[in-house]
Amino acid sequence: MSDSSAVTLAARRWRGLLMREIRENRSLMLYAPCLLVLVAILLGLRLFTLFPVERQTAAMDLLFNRFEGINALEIAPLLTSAGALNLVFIVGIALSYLASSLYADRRELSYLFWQSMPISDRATVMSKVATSVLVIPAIYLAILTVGSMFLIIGAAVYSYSLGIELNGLVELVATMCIALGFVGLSAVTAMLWLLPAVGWILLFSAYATRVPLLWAIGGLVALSLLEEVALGSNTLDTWIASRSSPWQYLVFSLDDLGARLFSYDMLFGAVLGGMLISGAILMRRFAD
Amino acid sequence: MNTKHRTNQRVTFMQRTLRNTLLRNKHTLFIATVVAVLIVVAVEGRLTDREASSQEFENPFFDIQVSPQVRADIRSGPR
Repeated sequence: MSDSSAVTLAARRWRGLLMREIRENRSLMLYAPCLLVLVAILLGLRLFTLFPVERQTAAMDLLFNRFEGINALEIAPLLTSAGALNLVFIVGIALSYLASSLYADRRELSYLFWQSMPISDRATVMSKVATSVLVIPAIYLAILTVGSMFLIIGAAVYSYSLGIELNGLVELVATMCIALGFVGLSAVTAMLWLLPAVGWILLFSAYATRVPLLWAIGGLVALSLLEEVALGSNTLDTWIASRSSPWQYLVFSLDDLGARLFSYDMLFGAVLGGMLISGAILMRRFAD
Repeated sequence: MNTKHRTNQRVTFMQRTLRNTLLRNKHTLFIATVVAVLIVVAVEGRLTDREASSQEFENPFFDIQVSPQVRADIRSGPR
């Protein structure tokens, strides 16, 4: 087999594996983000309608004319920080997907079918990691972009009906696109930063006989408490606390992105995540 | 040839040992993975004197400059 056909075959296999994850978890990956974005937009609209028309006009005037002539890159971090709440949803969706992924394979016995196919356990588990790190943030971001576009178009039409000039519309859209890009980069950085958590949950998903997420969280809390009680130290707590600041993965500019992705903490987290993911891969050889 | 044969024998022995110990069943594998990770975390924490940084909120985009008078007003609460 030539090199190009081997690459094509590997690409098709990976595409199939990722599509399988999306198809099997449609409600979590597609419907849940749609619902969350819709609720956020409706909540914003509900709050907006609580104000009298004069205040609404002033707010719309500020929104569409304040942005005129500004540098979108300078103001984008402000919108990114407002959109950072979406990271909580993305990480929540990814972790809940990971907790059920290998566990569901064992419960339905579908792992027997997949092991009979010419696909290794490593490729299967790595496809779940790639889904949580890349596919879930990408799908969420696409839905968020569509929702934001609808919101801006709606706001522009409403403002036009109020007689407000839309001088800063282009700058506003540019700022929003840059901010959404930063949110997407933050989401991928956050998932890479959380690789130890990804590996930990995958390990429990491959091991636990029921409610793997509960066992994963409970196991971590129990280990931390056991260390404090038995050894009088708090290494585990300190390690978790040293990686819990959101500033470690929130991206507000491209300048330091490379340094973040290849920082010592990121690479060390990747090593730990790799160890745990390797454990999850090896675990698939044992039938329940 | 002899060296290669000896290396192969050593690899086979290691594989067999691993299969008989850590990879014997899912419980031993699980415990071995968790223990290995905890050891790495403990050693790295000791070597680097790792400290918790969750209380650090340093970010250039969120440096809010509040005048001392306003800060005092906020702390004293509503009058």
